[in-house]
Amino acid sequence: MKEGPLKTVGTIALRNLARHRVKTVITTIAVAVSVALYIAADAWLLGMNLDSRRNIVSYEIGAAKIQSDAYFAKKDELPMYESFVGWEKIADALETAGYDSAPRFVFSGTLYSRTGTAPILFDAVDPEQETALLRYPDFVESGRFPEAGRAELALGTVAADKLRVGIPRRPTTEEYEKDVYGAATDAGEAGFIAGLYDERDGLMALRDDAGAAELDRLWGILSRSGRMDVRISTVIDMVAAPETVRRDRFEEDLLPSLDAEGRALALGSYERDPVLDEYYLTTDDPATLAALLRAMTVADYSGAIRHVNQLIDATVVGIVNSPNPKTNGNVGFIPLDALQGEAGLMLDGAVTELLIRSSGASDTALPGKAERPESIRAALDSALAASGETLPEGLSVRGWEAYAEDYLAASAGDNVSTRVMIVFLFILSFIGIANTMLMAVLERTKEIGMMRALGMTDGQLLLSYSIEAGMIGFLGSMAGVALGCLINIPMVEYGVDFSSMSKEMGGDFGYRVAALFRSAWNPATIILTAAAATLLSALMALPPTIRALRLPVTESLRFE
Amino acid sequence: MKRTIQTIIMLAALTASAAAQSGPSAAELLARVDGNEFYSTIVYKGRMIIEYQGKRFVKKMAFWGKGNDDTFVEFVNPEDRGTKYLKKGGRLYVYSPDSEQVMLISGHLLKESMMGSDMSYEDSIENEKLSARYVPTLSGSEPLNGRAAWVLDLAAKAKTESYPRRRLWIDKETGDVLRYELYALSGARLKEYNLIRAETIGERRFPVESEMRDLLRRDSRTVFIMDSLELDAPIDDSVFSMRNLER
Repeated sequence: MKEGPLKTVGTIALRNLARHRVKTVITTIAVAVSVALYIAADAWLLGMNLDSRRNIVSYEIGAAKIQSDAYFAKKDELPMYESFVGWEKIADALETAGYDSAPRFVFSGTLYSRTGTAPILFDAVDPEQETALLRYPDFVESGRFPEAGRAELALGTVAADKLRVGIPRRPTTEEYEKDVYGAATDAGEAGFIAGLYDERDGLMALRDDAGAAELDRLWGILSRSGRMDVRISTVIDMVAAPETVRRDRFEEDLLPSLDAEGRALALGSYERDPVLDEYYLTTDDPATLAALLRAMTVADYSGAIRHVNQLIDATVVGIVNSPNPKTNGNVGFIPLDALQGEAGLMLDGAVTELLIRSSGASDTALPGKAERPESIRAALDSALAASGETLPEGLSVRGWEAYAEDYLAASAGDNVSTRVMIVFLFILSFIGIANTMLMAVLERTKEIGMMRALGMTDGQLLLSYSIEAGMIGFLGSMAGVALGCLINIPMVEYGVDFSSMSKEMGGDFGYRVAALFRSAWNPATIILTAAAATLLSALMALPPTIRALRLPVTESLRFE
Repeated sequence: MKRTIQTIIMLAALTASAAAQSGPSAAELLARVDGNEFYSTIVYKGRMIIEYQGKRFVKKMAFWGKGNDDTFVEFVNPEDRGTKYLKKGGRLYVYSPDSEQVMLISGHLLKESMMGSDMSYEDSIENEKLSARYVPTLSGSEPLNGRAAWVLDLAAKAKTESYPRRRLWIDKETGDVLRYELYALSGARLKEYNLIRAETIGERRFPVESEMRDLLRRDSRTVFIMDSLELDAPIDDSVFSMRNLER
């Protein structure tokens, strides 16, 4: 009994769609464009985020890090005095538990080349362990990764360009003649170099088809000319209790900054000299001094932190250009063991962090359950306990997210702002539908009155117009889904090469993607967007129809 | 017997003559340097002339210092007017009139160039007795710019010293430090200072015009001139206050 009127209502809705073809087509296109844009933008954001997260884990951090809590609290200042020793036992235990680990000592400094200077963040690494755990050593675009025991440096491509080290790909004519061609020591080398470069658009350009052997030979020639020789200027942060402290500074600055225990330690370790009016250190007990220093550094008392000037000669042996821009910027990688003695940073085996990744973890997968900090900690504790050891107090395992908070926050902000823009576009297209339906209902007010007079109920009329609008939304959604998927197919398969733009922006624009922006399929978003567009379109018909139904039938029939 | 006495007298005379010719010990020379250049307080108006890769910048400043803990510097040249530095309790703060904000300069930033000069922040506010921090060795004497000078090598007593090694050229006559060189832990030479002019203030000789070169910077030198100088005069503690920095 109910099928008859419902079928009639459906037929009326479909006929109305056909009767107002132009309006239907225009509104359908508006919905389709909105849906397609939302699907494409969502896939692009998802792809960028997935790639960024994978690249953070695979190229930058690993799944987790072990650092001292004191270092983590001040990690942005790179407090090298909060490093730790004895990491080898922890690394062994991690290996037993099924994890790879790589030690690092992170410090900052200025790098001087023959032609310029640049502030650089240096990662002192164990080349073998670093290569096993992270992927960027596989992306040394020219030269090679540093070898253990040598003061060798691999530089990010941005820093290398700025400092004019490495093999220049697009040198100016002047740079080419002076630094590249000028590096040849005989006619044979000069001819070899001349054969590697062409002139393009007023610049010299390294031939795209230059082979690895040719690049190695060119590297050797340029290296011999001194182009790869650099000097690292840095300071070694050390902590030492000051021998003397002026009375007012001791009483007004140091003591108030310490907690009760620290104050007792300071008062017990220093005595006041009444003649010089200063406090002088009286203890030389290593344990007391260590506790005093700990109290001073916790209180951030800068008088206990000393900075020793250091200048280290090094040779650049490779240029890193990986898919993660963080490894390609003002970054340098140097073997950890080359910095141990007085010619280095006097590390005495200390590291600032130990990177961790599950042995055999896939580069395409984000860290799973076994790579959560709590899982690593539990496995590490049991492996250490088996050899009668424990993780030293003050050291903690933290997941990669704790070190990528800036990226995660920026990415969340980007997600919200992009989605808000798309939602606005969505709203605009639905205002279009609302307008179309409003006009349609107004134009058909007389018709509505006639249908009501013929016996159609208000509910049937509401349903008719909702189906009409819903059908516009549905057709638009289907077209939008098709269009969005068509956009997504090449974006997922091939991506877009933004390397030029990325380079213009200094190689780092927040996302950890260096050149190729790829989208990712998100079936849930595709289905939900289509369903939401259809439903919202149907709902858009309700307000004007309800308004028209409020008129008495007689007035509707007279409506012009 | 007479010959023996003559020999003893001759030996004694020779020893005395040799002692007179060998001059002061390394420790005495360093104590003399400290006596000249270490102050309890200092107030001056000065200029910093920075020559860097063909460009010349002149910075004018007023400076107040107390021991090695408290320093206040205010730049008064038009480009930097209102930029102030305060060192207090081992911390160095800078006030920028553009941002109207106080920033803490700490850690590695202390080694950065101060106002683009060849001096680091730390160099510019250092005032600690060298004799307390270094073990001196007299490594000889040589003429420098027409002046006879002792050459003194200093090795840091503690491994936490900012410059683990220094070399000083000290004027034999006046005790002025004519030149010094600062070395990194690796032994590389980092900076070179040359005295241009020293004045006698009270009973001490004090450098009032000098040149510093950061040897890592190409074509760069900074000439430092003190136009008016007052040493060891009392300075009110309120000068070294955050309030003064932000005023």
